[in-house]
Amino acid sequence: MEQALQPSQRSVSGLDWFTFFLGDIQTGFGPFISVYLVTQKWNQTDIGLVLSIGALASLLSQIPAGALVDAIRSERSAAAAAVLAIGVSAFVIAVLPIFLAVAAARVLQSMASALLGPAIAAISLGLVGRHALPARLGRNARFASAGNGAAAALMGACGHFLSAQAVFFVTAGFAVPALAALFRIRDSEVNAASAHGGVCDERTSGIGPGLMLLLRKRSLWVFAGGIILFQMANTPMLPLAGSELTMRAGGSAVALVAICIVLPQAIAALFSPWVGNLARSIGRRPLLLAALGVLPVRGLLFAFVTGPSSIVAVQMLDGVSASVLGVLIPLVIADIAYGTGHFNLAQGLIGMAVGLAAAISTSAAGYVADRFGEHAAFLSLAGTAACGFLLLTLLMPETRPSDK
Amino acid sequence: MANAAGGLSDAKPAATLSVSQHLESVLGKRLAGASGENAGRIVDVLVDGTGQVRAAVVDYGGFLGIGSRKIAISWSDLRFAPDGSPNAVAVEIPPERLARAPQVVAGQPVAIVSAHKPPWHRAARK
Repeated sequence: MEQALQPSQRSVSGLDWFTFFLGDIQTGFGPFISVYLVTQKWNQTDIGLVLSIGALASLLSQIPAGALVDAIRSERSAAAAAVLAIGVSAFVIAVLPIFLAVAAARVLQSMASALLGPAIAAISLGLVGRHALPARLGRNARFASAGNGAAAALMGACGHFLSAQAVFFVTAGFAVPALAALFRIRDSEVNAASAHGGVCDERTSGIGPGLMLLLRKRSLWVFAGGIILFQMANTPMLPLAGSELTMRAGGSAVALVAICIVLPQAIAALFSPWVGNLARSIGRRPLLLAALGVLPVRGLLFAFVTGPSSIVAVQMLDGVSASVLGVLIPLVIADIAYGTGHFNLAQGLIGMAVGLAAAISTSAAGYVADRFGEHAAFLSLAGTAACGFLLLTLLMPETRPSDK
Repeated sequence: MANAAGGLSDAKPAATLSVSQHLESVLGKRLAGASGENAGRIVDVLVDGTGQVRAAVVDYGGFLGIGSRKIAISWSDLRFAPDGSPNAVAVEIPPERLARAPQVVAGQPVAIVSAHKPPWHRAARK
């Protein structure tokens, strides 16, 4: 299992560009979908319902998707099917904006997205092996962040200058370069056992026994708790800050919100590979603590700054957390789950916990902001983040393998 | 929507049927601000207890759906088809006031922004 794997240049660059193009096929499905549906004369109740259906489908598919990636032989085929499904979803939403079609497309897209996260990490692990994983995940995060940033700028421009509908046609179109990049990865170079995080024995195969095995690991609980608290504090921050900018920045508000979305991604693209190397040299724990330590500071600063340029400056701190966690989340899961053969099930488990946390905290923070004001909302988010930092400081072990 | 209970050929018309090509949904219509700038999109229409249309709920600002605010703009301050352009809707309220308008929250009293403050305007909640 510990043999050094030597992937070809072709496979390496294929994975680079595959992670890059994923931003383009996923951005349109974010908050933008409600903007589009309004232009299709949907009412607010239907929009809310279809968003909830998508969110629920996403939560429910995380664990089965992880288990599926562990069970299959070709991660590449799974990823290809998922990309195709997302392309079809985007096309259906663009040409047939009626309730049933959009709801079905959202469900399909949610399931496919739940598959893509684990599939990319699994391909990475299967391609380079465990020793080179930190560097590879750093590279993944670089290309993913660059792709997300470029996609936000492109899709925003597309929605502004063409139409909201055009965004979904463009999204569907980007499935083609994503697939082209994916098929540059040689399937034969992806070691299946390594991609699944080792080989599981007979008694622990399947979802149930696999979950039992994973849930006995204390470090997984602590890590999940820390990441859940991080997500609860982090997810509502950008929308709240964006709303503040809309209130205070006048005519430049739209551009400033765009900068708040794109620039942290650029920062993450710049620093992620460095984070990958640091994870190997100084270990995982200090980096995790840095990412979680920055968040309460960001929340506090948001609570007290009021000028538009200071709001944008504070949002840049998001780049620090993003560059660390983009690498560290899959890496620490691999550390903890390696040897069980359930690496991707573990990713699905964390994915579901994180998704649930994000869904709850978005409405909770919205409620606090409406009742007690933005100041109180930012303070409570900072408090939540501080709890996450404390939890990891006190209980999170170093998970870097001792043999380095 | 197929009508199973009898189409137009049915013997007794229940009400006068008026046909117009100039009726259109306001949902999704873009608002033009005081100096022609983008002032968001109409996402809902609010009526009072008598069925009188009071306000349009407008999704204002934001990028890719992030950072936008839902605000209520007084219906009487919207001008439809200004300058003879049939599809446009204009609002005369300055953008600073639109940007700082309180958000519309389900289940709570609605604060309506208007050019003048009519008697039924509710003070913005703090």
